Amino acid sequence: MEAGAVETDAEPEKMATLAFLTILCVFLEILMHYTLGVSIGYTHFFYVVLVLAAIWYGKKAVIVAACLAVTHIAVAYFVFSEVFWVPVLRAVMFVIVTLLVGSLSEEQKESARLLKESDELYIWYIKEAAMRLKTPVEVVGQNLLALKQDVEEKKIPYESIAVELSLQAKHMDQIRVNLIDLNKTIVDGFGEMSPASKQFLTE
Amino acid sequence: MAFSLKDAKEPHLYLIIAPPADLRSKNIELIRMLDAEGYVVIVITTNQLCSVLTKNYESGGIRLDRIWFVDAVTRYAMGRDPPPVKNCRFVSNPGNLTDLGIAVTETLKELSGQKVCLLFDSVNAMLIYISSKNITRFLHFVTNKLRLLNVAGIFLAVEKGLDPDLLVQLITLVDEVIDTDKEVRKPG
Repeated sequence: MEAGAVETDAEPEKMATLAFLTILCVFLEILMHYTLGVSIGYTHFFYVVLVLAAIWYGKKAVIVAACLAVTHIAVAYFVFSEVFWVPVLRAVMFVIVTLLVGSLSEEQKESARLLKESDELYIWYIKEAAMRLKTPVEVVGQNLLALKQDVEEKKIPYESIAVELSLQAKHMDQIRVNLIDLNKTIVDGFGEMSPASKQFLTE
Repeated sequence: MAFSLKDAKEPHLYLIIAPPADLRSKNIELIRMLDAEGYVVIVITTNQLCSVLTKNYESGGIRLDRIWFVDAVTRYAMGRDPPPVKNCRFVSNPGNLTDLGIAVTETLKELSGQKVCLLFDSVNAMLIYISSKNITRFLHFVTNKLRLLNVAGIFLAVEKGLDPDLLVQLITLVDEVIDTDKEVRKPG
């Protein structure tokens, strides 16, 4: 999932919650600010909506912040017939806080995505390593035991022994190449490993 | 191994899972059973040399005239072209899926009209040379070809040697899975 993108499985519930809370904020704005003439206190509730929106939708939540900021300034203008710096400052803070929390939320989501990718890579490595290293080593071991038995029982022609041993040596060499290839995949994703360690694992 | 292709109404594809120590004996058992049921067998070998298999079959009293080989290891092990062997096609190495595919196709074409069964020995040895992703693709190609040509097929694999995700993919390609150690048959 892209950083800051919406988690679609819970989207309807989140959207409904945000819509409800935003309407509540507008209602508070009309009731407290426009009707009662109170311009402080109730705006703290706005941050609940803005922080939630920023956590869920990242920096895109600035749309909600902008809507509430415009509403707040507009109501202040209707009440006092002019715009004072205090409601403007509050409105700017809505946007700044939303952008800050949204930005942190996106960073956290990106870290979680990278961690998930890294976990998936490790799981893939472990599975592929088991199939392309562990079992093949077992197969080669069994082949060598069978060859030993054939030699002891003189069931294998002399010229085939050399070819058979050569095959098992090539199997082992390929298993070594597989290990290096698998290591390369993992090592490429490691920023913190020293170049010497990387070289050791991949050559 | 209580297993027969006689019961199958149409050519079936099987995945046979055996312990690593039994892989060789299962190969011989299967060839003997297929021979007894009148099949011409194409052995795709990615683990044992054709010459060794031939000796094993001979000592097991199996007729060699009804066995064809696609050998992906002899030429690779020798590092040069081996002397021609009757009913045997050599492939440069087990990872060369193009040549392996061509060899299988040509052999199937040559045996068209006959009662044929393909024996793939083994999935695990192939995994030394190709990734799990590519082996699924290759086996998909082979099983499709076998179904189109109405040819039976047996794929040998080592017990506990395949990742469950890969095993599930392989199971979808075959009609039946047989675990020889537990004598369990499961539909694919």
